Amino acid sequence: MSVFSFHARLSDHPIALYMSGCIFLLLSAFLLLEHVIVVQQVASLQLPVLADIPVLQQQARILEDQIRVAEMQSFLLGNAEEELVRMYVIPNQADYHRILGFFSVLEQWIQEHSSMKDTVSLHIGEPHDIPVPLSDGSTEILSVHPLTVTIETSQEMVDDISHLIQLAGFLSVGDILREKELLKLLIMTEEENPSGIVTMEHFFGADLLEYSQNPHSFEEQIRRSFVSEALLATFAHMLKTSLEPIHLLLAGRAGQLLESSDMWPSRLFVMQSIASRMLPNERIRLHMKLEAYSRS
Amino acid sequence: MVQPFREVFRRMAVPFFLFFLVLTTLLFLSWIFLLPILTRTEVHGESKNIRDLITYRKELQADVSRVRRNRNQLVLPGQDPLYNVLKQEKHKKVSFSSLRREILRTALSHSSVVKDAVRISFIQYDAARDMLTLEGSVFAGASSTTVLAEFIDALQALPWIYVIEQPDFLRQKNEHGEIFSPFSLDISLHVSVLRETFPVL
Repeated sequence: MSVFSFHARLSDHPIALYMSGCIFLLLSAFLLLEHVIVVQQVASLQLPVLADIPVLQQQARILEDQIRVAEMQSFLLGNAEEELVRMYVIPNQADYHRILGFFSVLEQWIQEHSSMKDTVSLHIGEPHDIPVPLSDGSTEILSVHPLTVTIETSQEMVDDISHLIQLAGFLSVGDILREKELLKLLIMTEEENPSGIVTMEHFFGADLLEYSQNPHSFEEQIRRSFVSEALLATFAHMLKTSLEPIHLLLAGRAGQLLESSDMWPSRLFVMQSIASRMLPNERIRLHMKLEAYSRS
Repeated sequence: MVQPFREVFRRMAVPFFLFFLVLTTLLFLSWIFLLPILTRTEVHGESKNIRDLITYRKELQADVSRVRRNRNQLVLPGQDPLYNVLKQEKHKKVSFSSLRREILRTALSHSSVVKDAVRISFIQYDAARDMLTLEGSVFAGASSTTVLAEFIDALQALPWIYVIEQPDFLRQKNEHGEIFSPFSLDISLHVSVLRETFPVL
């Protein structure tokens, strides 16, 4: 069959040819659009993606180096904090004497500070168990010990008392800071001086009581390790807002009493509610509902 | 007239079909062979097109996040998972003293006309339900209810206050003959703004 006869036979079905032509028209439009999309992606994304890749690779290298250094540090320091948490902060038994001990220290402190009229009354409720889902996917059973505390004191003691209760159970400087603040400082460390991670780790891991007694030696290490103004400004802001009230509290009589009565580290209390009612003669009644915990 | 038009229509059919057949074939071949060659980039000796590059970047980002999580676990204190859960629970509660100070400051700023007009006698921060309860009285004579309404508006304007349940606006007289408006306010707090505004301690 020659080309001419094929052409002639094809011409006999014009409608079929137009329909097939339309299908090819649509297919070519789709393919053309694909070309446009790919060219547009290359023009708009290739450069930013190519710029991101070496930065990400460098970040991964820095983080792996920091992990090696931190592992070495952890190996040298051991798991002292975990042991303290298991012994004092969330113990295996109810350990009521440490709860009572903490509130006797509180009473002694406010009486020394304010007047002998100040009173602290504590009621420990019936414990109950709750399952707590953990980050590793497992669940641990926790015994919850509800506490009701009523304190009558002078107005100026309210801030210090609420600070001390909120502080109870925190061990190190890093415990006080919110995750967002910690991560911000770590990311800045990565950007400015990756090897400074050891100093930062040392600072976050510093015992709160030790830090409060001599904050400058800890803070000076950070100031010596970094030069970035942004990092040092964030650090100074964090000291002012989060750590200054603790330094004022623990460097004073409250810290001395906790240390001398062996109540540091103290039990962890989570505040459920706190109420202050004004009384005559500039006095105040604080009523708190707290929870202490032990492992079941 | 109809006959030549039909003839034109018939004669145009084959070129129409062939044109789009050839165009589609060429575009298809370009899509399969030409486009990938023109848009490939070499990264560490490996030739990648834009889609491979985007996937590679996503993998790298995931890698960095994973390594960062591992680093954070090592560097941040408290590796006991139960302790971490309870610490986060503590971090959800804000400083009562800062909260109280802010409430008293707002009350004081509404006592400018009559000294000590807004007197707050009870403040409760229900940290478990993120609620605040205030009780007190406004001592501003006949305008006590107006000052109370202004005080509520001022509280509502604070970014960390979500909703204030409207109280009853009453005017009463005490034993000294002073006119006052007692109030009890139940306030729902804007949790995320509250945590941004106030420290843990």
